[in-house]
Amino acid sequence: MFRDAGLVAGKDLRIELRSRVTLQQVLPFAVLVLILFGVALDPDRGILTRASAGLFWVAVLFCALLAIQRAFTIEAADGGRDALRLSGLEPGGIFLGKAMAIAAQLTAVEALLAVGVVIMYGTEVTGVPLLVATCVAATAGMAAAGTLYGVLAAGLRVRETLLPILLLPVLSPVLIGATKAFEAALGGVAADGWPWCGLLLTFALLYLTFGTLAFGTLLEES
Amino acid sequence: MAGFAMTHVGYVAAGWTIPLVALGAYALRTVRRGRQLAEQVPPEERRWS
Amino acid sequence: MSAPRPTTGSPATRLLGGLSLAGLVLLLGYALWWSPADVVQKDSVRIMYVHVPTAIMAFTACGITTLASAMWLRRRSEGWWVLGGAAAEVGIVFTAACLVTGSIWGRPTWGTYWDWDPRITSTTLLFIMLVGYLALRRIDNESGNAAQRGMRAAIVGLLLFPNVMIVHYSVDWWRSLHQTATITRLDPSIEGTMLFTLMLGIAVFGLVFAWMLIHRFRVGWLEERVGATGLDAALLERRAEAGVAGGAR
Repeated sequence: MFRDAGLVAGKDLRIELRSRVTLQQVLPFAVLVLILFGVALDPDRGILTRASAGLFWVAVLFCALLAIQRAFTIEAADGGRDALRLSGLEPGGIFLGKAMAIAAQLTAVEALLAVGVVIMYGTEVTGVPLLVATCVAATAGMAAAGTLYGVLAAGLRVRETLLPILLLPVLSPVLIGATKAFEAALGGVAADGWPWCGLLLTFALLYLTFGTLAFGTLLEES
Repeated sequence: MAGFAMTHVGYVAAGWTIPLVALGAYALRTVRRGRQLAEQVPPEERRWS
Repeated sequence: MSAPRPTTGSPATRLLGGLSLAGLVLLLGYALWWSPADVVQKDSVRIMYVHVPTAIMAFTACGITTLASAMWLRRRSEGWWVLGGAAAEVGIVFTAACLVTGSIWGRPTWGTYWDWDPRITSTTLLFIMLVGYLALRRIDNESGNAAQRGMRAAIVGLLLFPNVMIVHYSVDWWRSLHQTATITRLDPSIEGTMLFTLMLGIAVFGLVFAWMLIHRFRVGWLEERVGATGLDAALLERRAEAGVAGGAR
C-alpha cells in the first residue's frame, strides 16, 4: 500500500514539476492573500502582528482548496480516473498518495507564507518546535480531509463551488487548533499549544484512516 | 394577569412567531408537494394510503 | 384509499398531526402563561421553551442522516437514501429555527444578537454542512444512474454527525478558554413548572419533527417513483388531463 502511495505521490509531484501550477499560480496566490489581508486590515502593524497566526492559516486554507481542486483536475483529464481504477493500485494507496502530494505542496505554501508573515506582518518567530509540529499535523489533516472531499466533488460540473462549502466547515477544527497552537507558540507559552497540536493530530489520523478504508468504494462507484 | 406584565414582550413574541411560521410554511409546502406528486403515482406505490 | 385527493397522509400521521397541534396549544399555554418568569432572565426565558427543543431536534435530524447514510451503505436500499435526505431537509428548518430563536433570546440576555458562543458557532456550521449535503444530493440526483449517485452523498452524510461532534468540541474548547457556558446556568436550577414546560416543549417538538419527517420521507419516496417514470412528461400529461376533466379522478 505504501509503495502504491509513493508511486501516486511521485506521479502527481512530477506532473506538478512539469506544469508548475503550484509554483506559478498557488504560491503567488498565497502572497496575494497576505497582501489583501494587509490592505483590508489597517496595515498598522499592530493588528497584523497580533492576528498573524489566524491570517496565516486562513491563507493556507484558501491555498489548500486550490491545491485540492488541482489534484483532481489532473485526474479528470484524459480519463485518468479510469486509468487509476484499472491500474491495480490499492485504493488506500492511491488515497495516501494523493494526500501526500497535496501535503507536499501545502508545505511549500506554508514555508513561503511563514517568510511572508515574518517580513510583511512583523511577526517574531518563537517556539519553533511547536510551530513545526503544528504545521505537520495540520497539513496532514487538511490533506487527508481534502483528498476525501476532493474526490467526492471531482467530476461534478459544480465542483469549484461545491468543494468549499463541503470542506471548509469540516476543516474549521483544523483552523481553530492550528491558530491556537500558533498563538501559543508565538505568544511564548508553548505549553498551552501542545494540546491543540494533539487535536490536530487526532483529526489527521481519523481522516487518514477513514480515507484509506473508504477510498476503494468511492473510486469504484462515483 | 402575568401576561400583561411580561418583560421582553417583543422578543418573546418574535421568538415564538418566527419559528412557528417557518415550521408551518415548511409543513404546508411539504404537504402540497406531496399531493402534487401523489396524483402522479399509482395507489399501489403509495404504501401508506 | 377513498380520499378524493391522494396525499402523503395516513391515519397514523393524521393522529400524529392532531397530537402535535394540540400539544403546541398546550405548550403555548405553559410557555407564555402558566410558567413563571425566570429570576435572572425574566420573561425572555420563555423563548427557551422553543429554542432548546428545536436545537435538540436539529441535532437529532443530523444523527438520523448519518444513521441513514450508514444503513444505505450496508443495504443500498432506496428507503435509507430517501430518509437521509428527508432528515437533512427537516433538520435545516429546525436548525434555522434554533439559530433565529437563539439570536432573539441572546439580544435581551447577552445584549447582542450574535456572540461567539460555542453553541451558536457550531450550530451555524451544522447549518452550512446540511446545506452542502443537500446540494450534493441534488447534483447526485441529476447526474449518473441510481446505483452510482448515492455514494458521494452517503459518504458526506456518514461523516456529518462525526464532523458536527468534532466541530462542536473544538469550538467548545476554543471558547471555554474565554468564557463559561451560558445556557447551562438555566438547567440545574430549573424546577417545577419551568422544568415541566421545557420537557413538554421537547416532547411536542419531537411530535412535530416526527410528523414532518414522515411526510417529507413520503414526498421523497414519491419523487423517486415519479423520477423513474420521467417527471416532466408525466407532469405535462397529468396537467393536461386535469385541465380537461376538471381535476376529477
